[in-house]
Amino acid sequence: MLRIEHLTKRYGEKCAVDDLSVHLRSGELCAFIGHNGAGKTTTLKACCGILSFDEGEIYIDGKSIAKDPIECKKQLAYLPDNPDLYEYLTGIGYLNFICDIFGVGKADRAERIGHFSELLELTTELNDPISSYSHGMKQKLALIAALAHQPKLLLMDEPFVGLDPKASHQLKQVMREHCENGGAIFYSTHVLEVAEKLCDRVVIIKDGKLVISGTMEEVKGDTSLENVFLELEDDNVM
Amino acid sequence: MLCKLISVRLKGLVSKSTGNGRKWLKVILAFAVLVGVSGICAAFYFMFSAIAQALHATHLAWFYFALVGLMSFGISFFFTALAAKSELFDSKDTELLLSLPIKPRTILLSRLSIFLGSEYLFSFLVMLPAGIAWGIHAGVSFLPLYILGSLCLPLLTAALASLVGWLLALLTANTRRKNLLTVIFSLIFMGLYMYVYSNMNYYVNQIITHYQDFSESIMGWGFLFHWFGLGIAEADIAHLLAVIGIALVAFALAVWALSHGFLRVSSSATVHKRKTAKLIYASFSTEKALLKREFQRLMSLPVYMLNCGLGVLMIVMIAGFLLLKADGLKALLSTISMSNMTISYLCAMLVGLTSSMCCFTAPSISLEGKTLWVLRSAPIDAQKILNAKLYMHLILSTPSILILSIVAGIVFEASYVGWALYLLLPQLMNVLSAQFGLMMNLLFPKFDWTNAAVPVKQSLSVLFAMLLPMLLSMGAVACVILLDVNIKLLTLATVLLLTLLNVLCAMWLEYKGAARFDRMQ
Repeated sequence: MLRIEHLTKRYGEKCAVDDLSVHLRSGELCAFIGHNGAGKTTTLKACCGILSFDEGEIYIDGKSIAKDPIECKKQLAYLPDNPDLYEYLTGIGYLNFICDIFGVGKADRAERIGHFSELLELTTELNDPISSYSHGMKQKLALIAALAHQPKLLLMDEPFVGLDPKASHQLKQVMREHCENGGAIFYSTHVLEVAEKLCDRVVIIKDGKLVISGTMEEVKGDTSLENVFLELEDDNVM
Repeated sequence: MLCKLISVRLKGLVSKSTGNGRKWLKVILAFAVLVGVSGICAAFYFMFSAIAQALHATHLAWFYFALVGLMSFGISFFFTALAAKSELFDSKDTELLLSLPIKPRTILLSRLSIFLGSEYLFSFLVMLPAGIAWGIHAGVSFLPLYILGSLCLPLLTAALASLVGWLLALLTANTRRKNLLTVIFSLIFMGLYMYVYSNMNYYVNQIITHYQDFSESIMGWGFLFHWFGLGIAEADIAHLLAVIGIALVAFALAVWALSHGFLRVSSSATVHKRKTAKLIYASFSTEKALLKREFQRLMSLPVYMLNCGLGVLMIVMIAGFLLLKADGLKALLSTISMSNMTISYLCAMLVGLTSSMCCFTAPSISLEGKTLWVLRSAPIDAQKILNAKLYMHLILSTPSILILSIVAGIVFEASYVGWALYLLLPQLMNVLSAQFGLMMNLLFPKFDWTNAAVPVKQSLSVLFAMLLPMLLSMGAVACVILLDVNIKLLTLATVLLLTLLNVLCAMWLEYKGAARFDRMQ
C-alpha cells in the first residue's frame, strides 16, 4: 500500500530524511516514532505530495507520488498535527467541500459523515462555524473529512495530541476499523503506550535515518516500546 | 518588553518571505513607493501653495496652519480609522501574547506604536509640502514651532482613530453579521472621504475667496486647530502648548481606555452557533466547489472585500457620475479637436484602468495561509485551483466594467468601431489584470501573516497588479497626446499587445504557475 524507497530530503545542508525505506501493506497499522526533529513530519508530507524530495521514490498503491500525484492523492488522506481548517466554513460545509473534491456522492457522504460524526460525537456541532471549534473538535472534523472518501491509506501526524481520553478511545476505534476494512495507516506519534497496543508495525527513525523497522513483536520483544526507544536513543548518543 | 514586541511586529510587516528576498524587487518597491509619495506630496504642495499665496500677506496667517492641521488630521483619521480595528484587535497572535507574562497594556502599546507610526506617515504627506509652501512665501521662522506641532497632532488623530476602532470592535464582537457591519462602517467612511475628495478643488477655491468667513467658522467648532494655527503663525506658545497638552491627554486617555477594554474585546468575540439541526449535504463538481470556497472566503474577510472589492462599487459609481455629468462632458469634448475614434480609444483605455481597482486574484494565493495543506494534499489539478481564483475575479469585475463601458459609449456617442473598442479593450485589460495578479502572487506569496490585512494591503503582488493597468492606460494616453501616432495603428497595436500579454500570462499560469503552486508548502 505504501512503499517508501530510499527517501532523502534535504533543507539546504541539513538532511532531514536520509535514505529511508518503509513498506506497509493493506490492513497494517504502523506507528512512526522518533524524537522531535527526526524527520517524521517531513516523511509524512512527502508521502502525501505536499513536499518534494531529493532522492528516492514513494509509491501509493503501486503509483509514484512524484509522477502521478493526483491519482495517488485520491487513494490517501492526510491529517496534519495541527489541522488549520477553513474557519469561515461550517463543519458540514467543510465536509461537503472535501467530498466534492473527492467526488463522493450525496448518498454516500450522508451515510459516511453520519456514521463517523456519530462515532466521534460531533454531529450536533457540524452546523456551527469551524471558528467556534476547539482543537479536539477540529481534529475530529479533519478525521471525518479524511475518512469520508474512504481512502486506502491514512497518513496522520501525531493524531492523539490534544484529544481527551474519550476522543482518543474513539480515534483508536476508528483506526482499527479502518485497517480491518482493508485500509492502511501510517502515523507519527509520541504516545508509545497507545502505539504498543494498537499497532501491527513500528518504524523508529533518528536524525532522518531509519533505526529499526518491523512488527511490534519483532521490535519490542519482551520489553516495552518505550524501553526500546530510549535504548536506541542512548545507543546513538554513546 | 515593549521594544521587543514592536520589533517583532515590524519584522512581520517587512517579512523576508516576500519575493524570496530578491534585492532588485525591494529596490523597485522602494522606488515605486517613493514615486507615489512624491506625487502625493506634490499635489498637496500645489494646493497649499495657492492658499499660502493668498493668506501669507493677511493677518490670518494662523488660518493657513489651522487648515494644514485640519487637513492632516482629516486625512490621517480617514485612512487609519478603518484599519484601527484590525491593526489593534484582530491580529492572530493576540491569544499567544495574552498567554505570555506580558501585560495587555504592553501588547496594546506595541500595536499602538506601529499604528502611531502610520499616523505620522500620513501626517507627513500633508505637513511637509504645506510647510515648504509656506516657507517659500513667508520665510522659515515658523519652522521650530511647526515641527513641534506636527509631532504632537498625530497623537490626537491616533487617539480618536483607535477609539473608533475600539467602538467598532465592541459593536461587532457580539453580532452575528460582524463582517457585514464592518463593511457597512467602512463604506460609510469611504463614502464621506470620496465626497470630500471629489469636492476638494471647490473647497480650496472657496477657502481662498472666502477665507474671512471660514476663519471665523474655524474659531468656533475648530478651536483646537485655531489654537494650533495661532501657536505656529504668531508664536503663541500658550495656545500651542494647550494643543500639545490636549493631544497628549487624549492619547493617554485612549491608551488607558483601550488597555482596560483590550482583554475584553480581544477575547469576547462570540461565534453565533446555528440553531438548525438538519445537516445539508450539497454536492457540487470540483470546479464549482472551489469557486464556492473562493466566494465564501471573500465574504468572510471584510478587509479583502473592501480593499479588492470596493473597486467594483466605485466603477458603477463612476458610470453613474458619467451619466449625471453627460452634458458637461460632451460640451468639454466638443472643445477638444480629437476624432471620435481617438476619444473612444482613450476612454476605453481609461475604463480599462479601473480594473486596477479590483485585484481579487493578487492576494488570493497568500490568503490560503496555513490552510494551504488542504488543497495541496487533495487530488486537485493545480490549474483548477488557479482557475477558480480567476473566475471569481472575473465574475465580480466583468459586469461593472461592462456597465461603465456601455455608459461611456452612450455618453461619448461612440461609432460602431468605438463601441467595439469600449467593449473589447476594458475587458482585455480586466482579464489581464486578473491573470497578472495571480501570476504575481504565485511569484511573491506570503503565507506567514497573522492579520489578513497584510497579504491584502501590504504585498508586492497587489502593488504590481494595480500598477499594470495604470501603466498600460497611461502609456496609451501618452502615445495619443505626446506622440503623433496614427490612431488606427495604435488601436490595432494595443489590441494585439493586450491579447499577446493575456496569452502569455495564460500560458505561464498553465505551465509554470500550476507547477509553482504544486511546490508550495
